[in-house]
Amino acid sequence: MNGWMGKIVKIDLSRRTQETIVVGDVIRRQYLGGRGLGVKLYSDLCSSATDPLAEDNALIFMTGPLTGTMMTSGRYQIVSRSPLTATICDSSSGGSFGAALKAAGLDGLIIRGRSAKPAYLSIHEGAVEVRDASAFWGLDTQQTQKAIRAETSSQTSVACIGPAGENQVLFAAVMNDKDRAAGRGGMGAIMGSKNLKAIAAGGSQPVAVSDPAGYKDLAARVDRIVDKNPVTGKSLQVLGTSVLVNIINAHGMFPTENFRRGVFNDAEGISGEKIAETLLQRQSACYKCPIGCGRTTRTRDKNGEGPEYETVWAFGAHLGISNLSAIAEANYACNELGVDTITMGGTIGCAMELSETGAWKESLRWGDAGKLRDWVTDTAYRRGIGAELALGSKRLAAKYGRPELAMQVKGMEIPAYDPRGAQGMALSYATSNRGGCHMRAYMIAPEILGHPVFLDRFSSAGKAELVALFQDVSALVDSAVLCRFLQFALGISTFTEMLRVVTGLDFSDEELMKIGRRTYTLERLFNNRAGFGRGDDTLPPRFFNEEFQTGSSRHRLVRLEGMLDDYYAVRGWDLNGVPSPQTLADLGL
Amino acid sequence: MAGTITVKFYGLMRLRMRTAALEIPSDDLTIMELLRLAEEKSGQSFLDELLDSDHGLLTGTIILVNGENIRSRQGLQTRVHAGDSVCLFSPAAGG
Amino acid sequence: MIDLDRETLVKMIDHTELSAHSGEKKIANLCSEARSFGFYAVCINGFYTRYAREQLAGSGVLVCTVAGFPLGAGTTSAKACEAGEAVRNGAAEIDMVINVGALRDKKLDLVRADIRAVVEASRPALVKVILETCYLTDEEIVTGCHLSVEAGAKFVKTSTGFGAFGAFAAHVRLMRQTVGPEIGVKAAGGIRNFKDAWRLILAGASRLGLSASVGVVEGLSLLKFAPAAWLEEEIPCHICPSRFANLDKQPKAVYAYYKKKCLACPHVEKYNMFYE
Repeated sequence: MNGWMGKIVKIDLSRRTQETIVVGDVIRRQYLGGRGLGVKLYSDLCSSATDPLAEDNALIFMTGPLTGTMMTSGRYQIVSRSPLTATICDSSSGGSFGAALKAAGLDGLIIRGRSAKPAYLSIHEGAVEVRDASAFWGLDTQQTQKAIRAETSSQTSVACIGPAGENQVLFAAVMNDKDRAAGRGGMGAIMGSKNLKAIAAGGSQPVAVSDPAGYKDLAARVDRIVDKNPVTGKSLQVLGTSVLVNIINAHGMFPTENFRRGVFNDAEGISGEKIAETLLQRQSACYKCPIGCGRTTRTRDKNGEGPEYETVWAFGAHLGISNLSAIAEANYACNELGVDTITMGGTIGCAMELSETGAWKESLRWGDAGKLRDWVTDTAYRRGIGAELALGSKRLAAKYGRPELAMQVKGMEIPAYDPRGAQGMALSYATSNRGGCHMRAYMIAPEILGHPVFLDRFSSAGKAELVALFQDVSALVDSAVLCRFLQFALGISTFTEMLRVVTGLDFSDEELMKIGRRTYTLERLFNNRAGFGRGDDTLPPRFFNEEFQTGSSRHRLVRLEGMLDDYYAVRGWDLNGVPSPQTLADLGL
Repeated sequence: MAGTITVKFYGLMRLRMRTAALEIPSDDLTIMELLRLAEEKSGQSFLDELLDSDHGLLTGTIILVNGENIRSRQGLQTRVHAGDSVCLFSPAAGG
Repeated sequence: MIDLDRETLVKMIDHTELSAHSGEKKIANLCSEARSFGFYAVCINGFYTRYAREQLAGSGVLVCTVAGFPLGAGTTSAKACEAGEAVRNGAAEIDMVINVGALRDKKLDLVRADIRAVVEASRPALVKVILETCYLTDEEIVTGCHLSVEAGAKFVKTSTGFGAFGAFAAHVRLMRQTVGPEIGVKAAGGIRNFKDAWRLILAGASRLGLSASVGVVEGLSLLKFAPAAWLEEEIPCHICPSRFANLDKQPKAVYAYYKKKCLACPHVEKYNMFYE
């Protein structure tokens, strides 16, 4: 078989049994791999009655046919039901774990049950061995990876949880290849609930390519395109993602102090330019990636990877903090302990406003950089104030009687772009299948960055179609599996070509778009059955009622209803956001 | 500053120019003219970070006049006046 | 959805590098990209014709060389000599610049003979005539087209890329209407992205002169499924040559011609805020 390895292992940690799953041609063609196939398998195995942290929940690690071949193809997807949001959720991570999984002979893993004692999986030559991880339980993610590589091989790639996952913090991350994170949605908590500390994979099985000559030509061409593109060829390498700080701030939509303002006075102090000047040691790149957006940094006493734009915002402007060192060190702590930075910062910001309004007796003050790392650590260990922060902003705010102060959608904290500054982004957040996420439909690209065309950010016109289009394309890229940053340089037809030369199957552009749409719709079906409907496709009241007074997004409010109606129409869903029978039939669902 | 237009450099521009801002003593000129003046004044060439070989805006170049993108106005022909603040961002992206 | 496929688009592109300061490395790079992407031709200055031919050996990509470029104000014999030499060095197409001054002076026979001389000297290569629309009125563009066809040229081309402005859909449309379906219309100058290119193709361009070729091709891929709204230009002035009229760069009469067109335009009421 070309592209795929043709083998998925399903493992039950309670019964200590394993089974090999072979996915049929039709399903493979309809879902590809990664997120698509993961969502399909999850939907078949579990239901809206499944408790994310219970034994019978399935945790799926999945690669795609392109994994281990083209540039950026070291990525993998984790799919399950999120303990944070209760929606279906996929979480994406970079590095090389995905490629390692295939080199070890597998396309993916389905994990159910709970191990009686801490365990880790060692995957090699197509075989999955369950090993004792008692000695590693309690170690942070960096220590864990080192220890497991010492026990397996220095060539293995390790995906693991830290104390946050062990303590089932609802937004615990899975970390791999040092500091790459599958951050959002709490996949780390699910691993923790299964007593699964880590997965180690490695091997030398090659990925078969159908048309080696065509592949070589295409790879050379793609190399050139990516290199020539100013975003993928220059900006991301030199300045990383935090180059966005000044851009978004200049547009008056850099959410400051829990989204109360859109301009942060010290944006410069936490910008990508500042990081390049002060903390940056060198860039880092994932498996076969020429972009190299990663930042290897150091503060005076510590070092690590990042912070990325989202983190610089979440621990910075969002909390009124302008101490870049403190932000970086909090980021390092999140990497070590295995915590999603966006939800962590998002929750602290909510906590600060709860504190300020007196709803919560704890005192967390805006701008208090000194406490940042402690808050993160306490959260990972669920102690003291951390026990409360570990709930995430939605539960925290509800607990203290001010649910409207949690800036979240479906339970997931909204990231670093204020929707009042970009109507399309507002729709994107509201209709994201996994909650407040900027990645499902990155409308910032056309509305702010002007890529691939420039659109008026304050207009609602045409946004619905675009959000749906981007959601589908992103789902596709997540199923192939490749890095989203390629989307700044490459279009659908190139992805089609990649799949053709690798798998030998005669994919078409239309078919790929359909795969994306099918995945997105299947996720929606799961969410519908879990009780999510139009009422959840919304934003906190702040965005409908409170205007900024300063900055270039001042006096703007989100106008969602019209866009939402348009969106449902474009999607072929009814006015409650439920896919119509015709829509489902068209997609073979 | 009265009588001047402030030009602020960000991103790769900032690294190239080694300065965060320039004051251009001018009033009522197009953005294109302003950019040329800024290049002259700073002694540094930077237009290739923002424009393509035909002197059009690169996809992804963001130029803001008082917070508004010139693409929503008259592009490089947008007129600026003393007291205006112009921000220059070369093509960038993130997540 | 756009029903143009990648194969068709790449075969419409002359991948161009005409800067005075381009060295061998730039040309080698140009040729390598053209080979890799399968562009129709590379468009270069005379000095590099032979080199480009060598670089492109076995690739199927043609060499297109410019003559009397960029001003078109040289003598006929100089242009013809340049063209002939380029063809002997391996050029399959010659992009020559029309004698703009003579055209504006209405010396029609002279202009026609100038083109014919280049056509003859270039056989068997095909000749494209660059009209340099930025220096002409619509009437002069039409005349230029007729003269080119009468003289045996196979293409008319909008611009050198070094003039006051480049290709506009309005001019391409006019040229296509004038020459009919058999003669080629090449749009060149200022085409930055797929959206620009698509607009020109819809207006009737059968060949594109691009330096941003790679981006334009990838843009097709990106915009293939884009909603119609993305591809429309909401404000007509943004794609109208009148808005780019420039007294510094154009003859006064031509500048005045474009500005007058503005004032008589039906859109002026709605969009007059865009006028200088």
